[in-house]
Amino acid sequence: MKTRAKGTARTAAEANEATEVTTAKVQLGPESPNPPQLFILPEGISTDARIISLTNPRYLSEDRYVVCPERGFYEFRAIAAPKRTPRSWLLSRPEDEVPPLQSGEDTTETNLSKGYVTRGADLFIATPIDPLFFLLPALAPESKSSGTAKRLFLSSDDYLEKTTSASPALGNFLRIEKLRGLLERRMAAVCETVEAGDETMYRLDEERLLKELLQKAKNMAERGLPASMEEKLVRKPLEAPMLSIKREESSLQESASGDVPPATSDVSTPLSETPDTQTSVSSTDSATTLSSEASTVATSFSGESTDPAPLLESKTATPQIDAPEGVADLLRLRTALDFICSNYIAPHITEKLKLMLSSTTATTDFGPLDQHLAHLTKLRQEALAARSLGDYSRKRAMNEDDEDLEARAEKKRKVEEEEKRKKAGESQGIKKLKKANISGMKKMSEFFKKK
Amino acid sequence: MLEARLEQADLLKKVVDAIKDLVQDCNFDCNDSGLALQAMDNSHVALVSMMLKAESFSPYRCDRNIALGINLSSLTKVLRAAGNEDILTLKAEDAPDVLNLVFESSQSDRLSEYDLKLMDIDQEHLGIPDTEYAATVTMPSTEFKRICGDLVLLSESVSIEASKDGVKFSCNGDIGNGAVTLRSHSNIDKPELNVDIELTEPVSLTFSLKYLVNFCKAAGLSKSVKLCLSNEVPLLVEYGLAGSSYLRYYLAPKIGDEE
Repeated sequence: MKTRAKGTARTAAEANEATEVTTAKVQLGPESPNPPQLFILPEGISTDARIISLTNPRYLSEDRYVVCPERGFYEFRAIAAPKRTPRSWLLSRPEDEVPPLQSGEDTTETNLSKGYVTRGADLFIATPIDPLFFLLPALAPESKSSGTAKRLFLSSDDYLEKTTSASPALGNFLRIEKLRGLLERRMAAVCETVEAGDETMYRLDEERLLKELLQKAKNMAERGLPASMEEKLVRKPLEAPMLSIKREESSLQESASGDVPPATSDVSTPLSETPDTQTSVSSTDSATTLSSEASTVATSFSGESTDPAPLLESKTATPQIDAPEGVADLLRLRTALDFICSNYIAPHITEKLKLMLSSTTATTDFGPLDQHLAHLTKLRQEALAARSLGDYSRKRAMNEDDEDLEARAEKKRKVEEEEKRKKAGESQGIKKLKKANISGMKKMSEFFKKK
Repeated sequence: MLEARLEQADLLKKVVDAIKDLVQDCNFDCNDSGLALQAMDNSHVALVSMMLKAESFSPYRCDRNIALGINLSSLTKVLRAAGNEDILTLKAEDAPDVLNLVFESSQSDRLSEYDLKLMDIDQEHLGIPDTEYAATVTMPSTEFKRICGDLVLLSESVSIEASKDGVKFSCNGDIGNGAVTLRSHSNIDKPELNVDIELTEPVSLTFSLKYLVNFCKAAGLSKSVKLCLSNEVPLLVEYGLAGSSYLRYYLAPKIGDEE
């Protein structure tokens, strides 16, 4: 369902029909300081839904989200065309009965005087997000002191108050019983609870949080990672090195640091289930940033990832990953978890979770994966060493500096000197023997064995 | 350490002269049984093996195996300073940088001392088995030298045929051909002129004359030379020295080259 709205318009996103189009009229002239942007809002969203600013749980910046009292929370993801293939949206009035086309060029003649051609082909899709992520900063505030101060049980009101103090716009929505209930349920999912009178008190339980996140990661991994992630973070790290091919070590580190590229939309589209399964949405929200360029930078989609449809098919066509049983699945799980952590969880919580994950009591054992990756790293290093020994031409091209040249000249001179000295030391007899015809004569080592 | 005293510098001078035309640098391996040398020429088709037994020296002392890496033309230069009759003493430390040579004149009180710088030579040693040769020809070394010297003017290679009648050296060259045949001969007055042929089966092999001429530089070391031949194995040219010391040359036969 496509909806077009003015970029900065705080109007309700009630528009679920194309009839609600508010197209900016732009003459060929000065660029609009407030260009329209395209949004796709969820279908069947309540009329009370609003686009509001909330604090991004990971980056603590003010970002825009759709909050619907009925459906919960949605975040915006930007889908941008790659910079090298410029695209635009042609926006036109519905009575022209011209569907919004994704035109190939900016040069499209705007014969529709009321139409508008956007500068870039950015598209913002609202995808569901687990409200749990918004609660986490309140549930697990970053403690200044390094001590492990025991957290207190607090009522849900206290937590929600903290959350609203960070994101004031949420305040109004919290009065809606349904939304509040949703938040409390999500809170309960990761907290220990105590009944104090008629009130329920909550305290974050990291074990449960980890379990919850692992479940999300599992869902994400089981559905199949987006092709670009699968290729870059799963297939590549698990590839055994071949001697003739240069292998990038960086792909391994990438997955470790969690700096993963945004997911493609094939994972985020099926949203039939409860909010906690909606894990793969990226937090890029550019509604606040007027410049569409900025949002492109934030997402930086590669060409193929904007085209989600054939991804699943193409994945099955690629050859099998050559790795021990289960290792690929473990890596997928970890990739998914890293992705979630790096997009929705504050660094200090992520750190704690990683520690718990590496501890022996963890429910999911990444041991075999680590072993296999270490093994591959070793193989790669060996391959690299073998290559650097064998490939002289490349070595030369790389380290062609003065010092090297000097060393080589020095060596050459030495060899020449040696040769000269040898020549001088040659006796007459040896010189004569050089002219001897030794055809048909075998070497001594053919007759006598080496000692 | 090594300390070896040779009554006559002559021996070492001639040995080194005979080897230096075949190899440039080589290791003198010193151990308690004496001074040994094994080296191949640049083409690796010929091999020289020298053994100067401890008995050749008086006294001879070598506690530990020492390899003296020597450039033979440098050694020749130093040895040129020694008179033929001089008493020569070789000295070296256990891990030597130099070889010390002392020449004492027997007549006068002249004493000269030289240090020769040594070098590290990476050499492979071949194991040479004791072989029963099909033919062993003993002849005066001067005779062998003459034959080789004459035939090399005609041709590159010589065919050596040993049969019960004698040993025939024949060659075929651009200007013509030539052959020298020696029959068994024993001279009671001058045994060094004996030609002796021991034969288990007739042999005919072809060798490079340039190499043989080269070997003949050792003729001054011994009055007689022994040629040992078998099909498909290298020719052995042996010059016996005093005691059981020897200088041996091995040369690969020319096979399948009937030009």
